Amino acid sequence: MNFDRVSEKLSILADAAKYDVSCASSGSKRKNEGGLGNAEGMGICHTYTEDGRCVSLLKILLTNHCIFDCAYCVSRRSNDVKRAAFTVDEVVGLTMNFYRRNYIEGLFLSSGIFKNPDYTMERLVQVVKRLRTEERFHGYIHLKAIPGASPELLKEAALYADRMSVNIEMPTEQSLKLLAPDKNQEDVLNPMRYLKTAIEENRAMQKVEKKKSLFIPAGQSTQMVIGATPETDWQILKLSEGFYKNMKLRRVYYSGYIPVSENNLLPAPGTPVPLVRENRLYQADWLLRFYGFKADELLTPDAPHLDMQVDPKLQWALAHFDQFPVDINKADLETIMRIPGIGLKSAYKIVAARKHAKLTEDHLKRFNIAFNRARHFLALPAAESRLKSPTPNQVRDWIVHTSSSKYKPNFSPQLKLF
Amino acid sequence: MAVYLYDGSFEGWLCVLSEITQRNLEPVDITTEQNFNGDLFAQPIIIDTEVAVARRQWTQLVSDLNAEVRKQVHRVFLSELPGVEIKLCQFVSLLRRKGTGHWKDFSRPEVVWFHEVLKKMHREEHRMHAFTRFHLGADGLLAACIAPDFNVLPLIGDFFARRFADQQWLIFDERRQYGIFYNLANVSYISFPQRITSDHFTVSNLSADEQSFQHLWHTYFKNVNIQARKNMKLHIRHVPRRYWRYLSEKLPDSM
Repeated sequence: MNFDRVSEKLSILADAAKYDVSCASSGSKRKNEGGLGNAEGMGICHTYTEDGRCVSLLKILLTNHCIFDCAYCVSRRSNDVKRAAFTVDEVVGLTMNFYRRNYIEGLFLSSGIFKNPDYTMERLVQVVKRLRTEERFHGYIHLKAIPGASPELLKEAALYADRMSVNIEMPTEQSLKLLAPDKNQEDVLNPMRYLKTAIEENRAMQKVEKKKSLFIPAGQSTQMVIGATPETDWQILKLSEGFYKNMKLRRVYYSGYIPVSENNLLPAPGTPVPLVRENRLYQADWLLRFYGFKADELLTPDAPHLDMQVDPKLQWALAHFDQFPVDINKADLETIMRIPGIGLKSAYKIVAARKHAKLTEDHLKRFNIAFNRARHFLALPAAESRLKSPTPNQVRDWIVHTSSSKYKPNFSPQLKLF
Repeated sequence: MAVYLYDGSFEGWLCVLSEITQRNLEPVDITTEQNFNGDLFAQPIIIDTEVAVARRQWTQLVSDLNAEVRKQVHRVFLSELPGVEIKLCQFVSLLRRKGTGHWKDFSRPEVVWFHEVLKKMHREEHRMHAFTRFHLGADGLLAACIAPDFNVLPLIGDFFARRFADQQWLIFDERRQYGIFYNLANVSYISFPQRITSDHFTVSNLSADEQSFQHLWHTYFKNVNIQARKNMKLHIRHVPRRYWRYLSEKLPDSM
């Protein structure tokens, strides 16, 4: 391996790949069968970047040459950046050597589209096939599905990869047409649909043939860019809900737009990344997946924006204040999960503990819940200095002023002199 | 007013537990001879470690509790936190009195304490899975040096044996001065007569390409960073400073 050349390629192609935020290395069931590595159960973050994101995979582009010119992408054809391309040997060498030293959980391989989608997809399949069959690598592999690639190539890739994903990028067709006129949404949705059907067919076949063969065991995911175009939070959440329900995706990622180009259709360079909005969307996404909420419960076309000052669950609870207070000793698990300040683990703990004893305020304080927040929604013996039957706005003001949010500096009306 | 002294090992603690159960007498404290501070009123009683007694108590525990809870009791013991020996005895007595189901009874402070320590142990184990970095030596051995907060070495061997089944590796705990070694068949404990520091692994006896691969990793780490989202507070929360000396990407740019 020519280390200097690989080092230069690595700086260019890792830099170009970092805007794809998917970092999961969990959800697969790959055992080590006489080779190197495994990918079972929980993922591992081997280190974290200085912006707090987890680094668990070697995330690179095979090449950043691209025939398309999407305005939001740093590797677009018209952008003047250094271009590079790895050889199959180099990618395999990097993956194996990093893995052996426990630097990574596996490989995340994407690519700019060069020549045409099928040509690109073929090269990607070559890499993963080498890793699995010749190098006997059993670590995690996340492979991008190139929009417009043919089904045979996708199917072959799925035999070797643990997860495949194709990024929707723009939440609506109009935004996509505006910023990437050469692309259309169907090119993105077709691979998703095909893989979803292929997964189901494979599962059915395994039941009949009793043969265990892995076929993207960690499923599919996708990514949306937030803040580049004017879609509302309601539109975004409905889209995510559709992906989870109909396309059976495992994860939807939300990536705050980082301005990379001078374009009067997009936010200018220097515009702050919408971190708070991104955080709220992830919180709402968790509510959809784990807390039994529906998108229509959280937002409506008339109130399509998530509150930036309070999290979505609190926002919902304040809007449905008539459903509280809740008696912690009698309510069912689903209701307890909806109390602001009580998370999933605490809800399970409460339900497990109340079998042995009637739970009081003292017990609850030991459970690691956000008690100062939850107390407004729980039926507890009346506390000393609290208002009897406060209004939702009073509760909201109380919580916002007594809690220390990590975003508080953004909202403080105080002058910043230094 | 008795203080039981034992030798610091898990077998020793099992003998103490056996003594407590037999005499039905709870001591004021359980500690090792080095840590004993000579209390004015306390009588120190030394409990010897007998393998047969320890083994009997270990088998007894699986029938009193169950295999899962017993495994977690061992895990909590390895935390080496001050007071863990006596608190664990109290926890086990509680379960023996009230039934194993009570190990999830979070209304009791002993149970809440037990699960808090368990969470700390799980977190440290997970961190060691993540932050153990191997260096390839000239002799083909992959060696790593770590310094975990708790004694997690006995718990992480299986994970690495399953994952790196086709190469010999060694993981050394710099703080506790012992390690685990995998010879392609099984994992065994290992220790050296002289004091070993992390320099033994990072500076001496490396294979030809080792420095180059570390440099490549360094390059990758630098380029994956998004400056517009910089958040050092969050970064340090995930990768506390005490681990930085074992992570090659956090060391100053030496190339």
